[in-house]
Amino acid sequence: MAKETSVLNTELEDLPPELRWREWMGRIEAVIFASASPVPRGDLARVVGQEASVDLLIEDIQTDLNDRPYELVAVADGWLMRTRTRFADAIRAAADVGDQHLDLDEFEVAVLASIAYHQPVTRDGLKDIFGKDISRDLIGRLRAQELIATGPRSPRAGAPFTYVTTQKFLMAFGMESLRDLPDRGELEDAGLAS
Amino acid sequence: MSLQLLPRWITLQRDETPETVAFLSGAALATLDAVLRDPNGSLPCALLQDRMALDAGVACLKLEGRNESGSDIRDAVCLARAGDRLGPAGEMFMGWRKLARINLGVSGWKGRVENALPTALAHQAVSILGTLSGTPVGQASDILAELLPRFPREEAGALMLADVALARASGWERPVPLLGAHMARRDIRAIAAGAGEPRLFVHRAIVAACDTAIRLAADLDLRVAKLRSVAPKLRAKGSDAALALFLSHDAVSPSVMLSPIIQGTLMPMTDRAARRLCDRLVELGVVRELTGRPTFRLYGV
Repeated sequence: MAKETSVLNTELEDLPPELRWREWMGRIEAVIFASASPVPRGDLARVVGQEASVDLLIEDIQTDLNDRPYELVAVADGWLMRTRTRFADAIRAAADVGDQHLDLDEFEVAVLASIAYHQPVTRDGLKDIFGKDISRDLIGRLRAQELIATGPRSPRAGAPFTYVTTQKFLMAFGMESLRDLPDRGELEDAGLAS
Repeated sequence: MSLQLLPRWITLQRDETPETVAFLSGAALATLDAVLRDPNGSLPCALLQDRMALDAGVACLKLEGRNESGSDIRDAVCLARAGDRLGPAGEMFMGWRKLARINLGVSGWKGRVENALPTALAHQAVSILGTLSGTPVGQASDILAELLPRFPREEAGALMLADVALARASGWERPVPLLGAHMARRDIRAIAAGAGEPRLFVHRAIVAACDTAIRLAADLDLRVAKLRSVAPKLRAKGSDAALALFLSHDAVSPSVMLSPIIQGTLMPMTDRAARRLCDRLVELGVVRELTGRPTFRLYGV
């Protein structure tokens, strides 16, 4: 390839404002589309003009996508594109997506949810919640999928590890922060927590 | 000479009219300002800041619907080893701790503020801090009025920026976690909903925050004077470096922060020496054991 030190023209001063905005929107959508992981704001800001508001550009893109089967969403540390959940069945019927979706059974999801609410929590702490041992295997599977990570040691004999949830956990469940977890009060009302 | 607390006419006033509250907050802020300028040269500012960061962390976790206490935060931060995640409580505190340690007089401080903030607000820091003018309280309330309606769930980040603005406008060297621990939840909700009078809310929080901060400063000033007076009696190698940690950290874990090397230095200290030093300091009545546990103990002034 020819040696090329082309610097991306971000200001686009030769374009009229309307077209310039469109071009910026296109760039942001393209960058997010091309990325497998959420794209942080800083990266997006690099492809548009100094004065352009990434937030406003994103809002306009989201409006454009209103009637499309995919959407642009904010997750833990940036934005990503994903198909709308109501098309999940169609996607599953058409393609083998086994490697992509989380392979969790109901109990694993329950343990994961407990970790999310009670973190940092040890295996002993989880045992108190569920009334039975939580196997190292199960914890290992959640760790292998990077949904949880080790937190600070617990101040108890043997200094056992605690577990905490990760950014990937937030992403996998479409949350921006732990505050998107259902309110504990609501869970209690639904009889799902005590 | 012990520090002068806020006079009672400030702390006991119940009149809630805007003029009165603004007057009281101005008087309180000026008194705190005099304390922070440390005329006696004895105030343990770093320790004061760290304790206040802890209070702000606890208060902000409450705003987020979490109920971790100061001891939960201490455990997370002091018992984590390299590579461990801190969890939500530890991370909240570390954000405030980082913020309170930023020197606002050194160039690049805005970038460091950005690093301390939660991601959702980080990019707002530089632009918003560049546009402020007016009094300390005016600037802080402008920030809250600007950010909370747009980011109603980023209370901690908005309060961090408000405290940075307050410190800058007051000419303080570092951000002091005042509003972080003292803005009432209902006032924050009201500002987020675009209702109420942000300035009045901030004035009210400032009176409470300054009162607490000055009391804490007076208490730590006495305790630290005692700590400094016993320093020459300590013969353990590295005890000066260990005392420096006590003078800058809310809590110290002998087994993680003092041994095998004293944190922030290259000085080695054995586990046993670290525990003996802490026991000795407790015996001398200059530090307290903070957990009440027989193991994994944490110590602080």
